[in-house]
Amino acid sequence: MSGRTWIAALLALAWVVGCGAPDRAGMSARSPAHGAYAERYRGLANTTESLETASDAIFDADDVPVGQPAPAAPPPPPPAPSPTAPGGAGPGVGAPSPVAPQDPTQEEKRDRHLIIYTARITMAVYQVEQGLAAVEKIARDSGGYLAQKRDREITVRVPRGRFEAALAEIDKIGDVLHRDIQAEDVTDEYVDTEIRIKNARAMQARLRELLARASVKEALEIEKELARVTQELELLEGKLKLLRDRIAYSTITVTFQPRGVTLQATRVRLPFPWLSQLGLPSLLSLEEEK
Amino acid sequence: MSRWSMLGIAIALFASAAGCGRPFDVKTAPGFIELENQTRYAYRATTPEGVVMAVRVVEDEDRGDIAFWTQAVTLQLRDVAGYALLSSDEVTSADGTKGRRLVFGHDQDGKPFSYRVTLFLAQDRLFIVEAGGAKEAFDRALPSIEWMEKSVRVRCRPIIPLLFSHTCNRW
Repeated sequence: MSGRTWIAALLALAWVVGCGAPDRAGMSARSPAHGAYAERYRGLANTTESLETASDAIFDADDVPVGQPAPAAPPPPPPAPSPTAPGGAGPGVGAPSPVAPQDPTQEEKRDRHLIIYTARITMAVYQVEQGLAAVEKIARDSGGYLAQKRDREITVRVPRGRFEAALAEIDKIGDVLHRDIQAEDVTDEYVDTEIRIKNARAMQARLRELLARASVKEALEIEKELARVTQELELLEGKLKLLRDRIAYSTITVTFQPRGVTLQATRVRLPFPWLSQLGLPSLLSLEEEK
Repeated sequence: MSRWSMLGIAIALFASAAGCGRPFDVKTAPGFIELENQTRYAYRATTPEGVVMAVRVVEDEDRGDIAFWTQAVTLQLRDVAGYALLSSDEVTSADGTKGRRLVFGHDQDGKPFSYRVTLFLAQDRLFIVEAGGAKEAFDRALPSIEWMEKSVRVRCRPIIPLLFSHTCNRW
């Protein structure tokens, strides 16, 4: 075989090796091409990388049971919600993209949507004590925890991956009058906060360097600025921590109350007076009759 | 006054008397006593523990069918008053009239109560059979309540076929 044939064979082999979709590990390994891309868009790439790390950390919370033992096989994370329920189609976390992405950072962003799920459920007023206890137990069994409890209302936090399963369990404990589920995509806010933290840290480092070789007069000014930047950094880190918590744990509030309390003003009243006389107070008031 | 005139007056009085009383029939189970002088209810009976069974009659409510009234009652009790709807079943009265029974649960002063509403449409009237009480006492009295519910007649046999008086319990 001649030298040209060998070169052609090697090129063909290299081409074959280069085929196929790069997996996540390959992406994380940062191929030279990706390195060049990352170099070109360093800020965005770094942010995406940290976003990926943060997402992994957040998603890991789903697998860590807290308190009571959790079911053996946790359900997959909820897909991106429709306007009424979190079961609709959409760019959910880990959802496969129908089109092969060209931009790896865009692929990361598409695959790593950070969504905060919140549910408010109104239940009929019956056996409220048992209902509150049942909701709390469902949260603990799901690896979640009790956030707040009042006479007729309870708020629990459950790992995001158990959100839908917990809702299904809660549905079984009573008569659900109303259900309101919201999904808030905070990916942009998260990325923005991370960039601001990164910039603040860089600024903090530069100010410290300047402080080391500054005169007394300059040092006073630099320390003032350093204090401001440090305070901003703490605020941003706190905000990021809160976002991570809200993403990792979905919030479910169950209220035992009639819907009519808030809807009475707008509700159509049927012209049948006897309807409003129905119910236990009228039936059980034996002394009123003459 | 001739004999025929006397007979005519007697028949008129009889027919008038037949029009009095309740347009339905219900039996009171042992352990319950019927309450007198009721204004909102055509019939009401109670146990010593306060488990109450009652019947309302709404005149001229033949405009809606049972499905309409079932939905109206459900919206009123469930959505407005916050009662938990535990079940909804088709039932049949003692005279064979089809109706709908709604079983609710509700907390009053932190304690669970049971409440049942059964609806029948007959004689251009809506018959509302209600039963309720504290859950524990209600559960004990449930066999009696179910017996009373089954005894309800809303479409009775004519007393005198000639008069076609579709009445119950009118004496």
